[in-house]
Amino acid sequence: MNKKVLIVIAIIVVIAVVVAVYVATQNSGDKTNPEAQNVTGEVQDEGFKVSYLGVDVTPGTPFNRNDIPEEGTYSEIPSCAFEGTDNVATFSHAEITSAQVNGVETVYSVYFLDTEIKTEEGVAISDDRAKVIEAYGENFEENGNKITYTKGNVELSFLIENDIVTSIEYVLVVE
Amino acid sequence: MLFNILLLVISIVIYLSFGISNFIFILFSILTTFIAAKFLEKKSKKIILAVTIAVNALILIFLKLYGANVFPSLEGLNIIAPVGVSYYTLQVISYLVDVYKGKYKAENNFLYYCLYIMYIPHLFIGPISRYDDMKAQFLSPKKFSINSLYNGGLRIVWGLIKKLVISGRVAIVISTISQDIQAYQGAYAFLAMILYSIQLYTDFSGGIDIVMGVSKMLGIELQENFDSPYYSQTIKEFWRRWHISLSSWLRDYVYIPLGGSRCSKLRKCFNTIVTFLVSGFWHGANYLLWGVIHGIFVLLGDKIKTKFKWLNRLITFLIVSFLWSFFIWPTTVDALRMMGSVFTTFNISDLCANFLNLGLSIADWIVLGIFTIGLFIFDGNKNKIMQKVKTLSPEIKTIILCVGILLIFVFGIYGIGFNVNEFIYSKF
Amino acid sequence: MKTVIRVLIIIVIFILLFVLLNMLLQPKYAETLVEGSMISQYYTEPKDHEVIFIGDCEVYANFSPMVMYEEQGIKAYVRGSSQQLIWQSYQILKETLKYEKPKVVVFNVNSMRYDKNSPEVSEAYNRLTIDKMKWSQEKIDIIKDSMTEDETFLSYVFPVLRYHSRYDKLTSEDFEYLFKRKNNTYNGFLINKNIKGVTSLPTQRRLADYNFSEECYGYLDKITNLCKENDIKLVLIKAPSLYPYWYDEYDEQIKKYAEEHDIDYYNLKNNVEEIGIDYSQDTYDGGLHLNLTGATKLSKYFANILKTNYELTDYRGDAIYEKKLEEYKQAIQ
Repeated sequence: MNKKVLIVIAIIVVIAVVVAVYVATQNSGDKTNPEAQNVTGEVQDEGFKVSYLGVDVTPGTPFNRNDIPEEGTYSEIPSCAFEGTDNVATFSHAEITSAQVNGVETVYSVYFLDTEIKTEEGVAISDDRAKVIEAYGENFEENGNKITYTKGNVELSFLIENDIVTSIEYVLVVE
Repeated sequence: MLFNILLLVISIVIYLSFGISNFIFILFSILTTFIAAKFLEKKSKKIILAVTIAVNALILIFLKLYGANVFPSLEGLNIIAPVGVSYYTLQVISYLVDVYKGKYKAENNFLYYCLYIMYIPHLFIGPISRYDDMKAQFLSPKKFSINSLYNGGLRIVWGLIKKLVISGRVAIVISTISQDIQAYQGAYAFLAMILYSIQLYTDFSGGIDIVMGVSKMLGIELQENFDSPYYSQTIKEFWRRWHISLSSWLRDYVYIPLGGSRCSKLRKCFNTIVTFLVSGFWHGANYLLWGVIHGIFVLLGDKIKTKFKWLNRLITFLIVSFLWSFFIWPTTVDALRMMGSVFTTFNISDLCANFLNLGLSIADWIVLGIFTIGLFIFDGNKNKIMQKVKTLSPEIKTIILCVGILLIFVFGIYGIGFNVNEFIYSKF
Repeated sequence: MKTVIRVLIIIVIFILLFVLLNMLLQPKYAETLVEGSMISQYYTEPKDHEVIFIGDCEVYANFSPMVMYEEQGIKAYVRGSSQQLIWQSYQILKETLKYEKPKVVVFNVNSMRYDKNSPEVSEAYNRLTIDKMKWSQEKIDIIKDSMTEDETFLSYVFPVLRYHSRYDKLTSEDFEYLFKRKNNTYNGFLINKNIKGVTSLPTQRRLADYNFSEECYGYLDKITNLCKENDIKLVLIKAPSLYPYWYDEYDEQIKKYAEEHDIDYYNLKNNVEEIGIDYSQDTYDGGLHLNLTGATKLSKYFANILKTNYELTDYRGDAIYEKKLEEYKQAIQ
């Protein structure tokens, strides 16, 4: 009797593990199983838009440095976010970092370098915090003196020191 | 008895790991139906039956509608549907109706009833079992033979191969194609439909194989849920061979109560369409149209059948594949548009050129092809092969089992894939 | 009974096959991705070093122990690895101390900037550091400390769980180095002779927060204490790379920490001219790492610092090291 019980318990433990593993892996696209369905597809909202000298350089879009009507300086930095290198193009008012994604040179980030360049919503370096809030609202994440807005797959962050915007950067959100 | 208690305890523990709120829902269903059945046994009152079914069904209906965002005002509530609700609700209803009709007596032992509903292997993906079947399984003296362990193990491994090796691979392609409606039309959409048929079948039936295998190891035989569905010659036949436990539930508790086929032709059509509407709704509030179209094809039945067995099979497979579109693309409109694009957009050459950019390497396609062909050969000769396997010696079974496990380890799609490119620049 | 034995034999055979499969599918780090082989080469070395370097690529690319031996007779070893994070450096130091007790431990402080939430923490780099470590308590701890989301401990025990999708990427390297390994470094120094001078660098970004995290300070404390307990002199350095930027705010914090804990700190960026580094010639990737010529200059300079300040033995004439030096000289030809 005892031996049998032990065997049974052992089997059950094994099976419980199998079931647990199975359940853990149960995430594929079987939508005819109502249990595996998630809530209906969310609509991706449009992200922030950025342009430099009239050229669209929104993070996540293809980038060709020759489109920019200005000579810049270029450097290659081993990438943190992607495979390969980050290609940094420094122009007079902004610095655009791009990288190869699936064979396409893609904008990764745009960093403002001076007060001459404004965001689409009209904020520039040297503006005050109130102007940022006025343009982008209260829905931001604050980390130290950096506030970050996320829209679509683009993050826009402002560094605000002594109530003055000292840095503006757009970055692509990478999963 | 001890064994059944253990089983119940384990089931409850695993179920609880999905969250306490789940448990409240399932307990509610178990208690209401258990008590109602007791009443029904003494006094066969229709009102008790109707109210209890209505309450349980309404929970399910509400959750389905909520899932489809029908109540935008309730968005903030953040209700999460309890795990397995689509399956156990059907089971409690079948129990109530059967007791009402006097098919069997109401259960006196609460433990057995709990175990019937909460038996963890079948709680997530079915099969939707009937109470008398399950009770007989629980009561029968268990014989844990090495043989049943082997057979259960083989079944589990086979299920895992279907799920991880075949379905997992197809899922990568499907997610690529379904993500970009603009870029992937025409030939891509067609490829997605065909592949999705395979994904759905391998994922679902693979899951069922695992449930069956686990149950077999525990000495419990469940009802088969698939019978080589893609070998069907008509849509009607397809529904006898696909998700059998759901089809038979719908037959017994929707179609026949409505009057079944023993009535006027018009009424029969109505009954069929309603049954498929329920089926569509059970899959999700977005799939009503899918249900109705299937219903129409079922009504057409043999009328669109040719003399050639293989042609019939091909036609049925294509119809089924086309209709899966409703599950591939997020909205009904998209699905219809993609179905249309197959006939209006001719971009085969584009697809050929782009074939290796869909997420799978050439080796992956080959692996997928080989295993899929293997699957269809197996399905076509299922009975013969199963018979053969039963007579094999333990040594051979061990070898098959081990080879299967190694295949899963190597060819399964799981974990974070390795990408050598990630490593090329290791300079920081 | 006979059946049982036969079945057991079959199972054993398959377990062996499984082990073999694990070996076959994991990257060999022999001809490609050689950075992954560094950590394990140490196990085969004679363990009588007086100086141990720990840290990220800024140690294994910039400091050549063989140069230090030739110049000052120092026996040093670089236990660096790509993107070695500070919690990894700590475990690697702990592991090293199980084998030997050096007089001096040199830690490159660049990794203080990354805590466990940094986007720079990457599973791929972690693997380069961890995969080839010998099993020990330290390896268990380093895995637990380093695992990113979605990872399982089991995938470090059975690499097939992680690397199974390499089945179609196997090359002759995977078969050639199935049972053997290849040493790619000279006492932990990876030779790179390429020249790619500095042309331009990205603009120095302003940061929201320059303070190192509590977490990193915690590990720095652990390293400090570990050295103290073992009577080892800890030396902090910052290698002279131009990028990623080593902010003044960073430097101040390390200076302060060093003062408070009575540790020596050398920011070698300040001595670039003295060392003689020419950034148009002495780097292989535009200012991130020094190449062979740059590393040689830096190693000579730093060997001098070590020798003058830390009472190291002059081992010149040691038979094994003379042979090593010869091999090294051939390799840099």
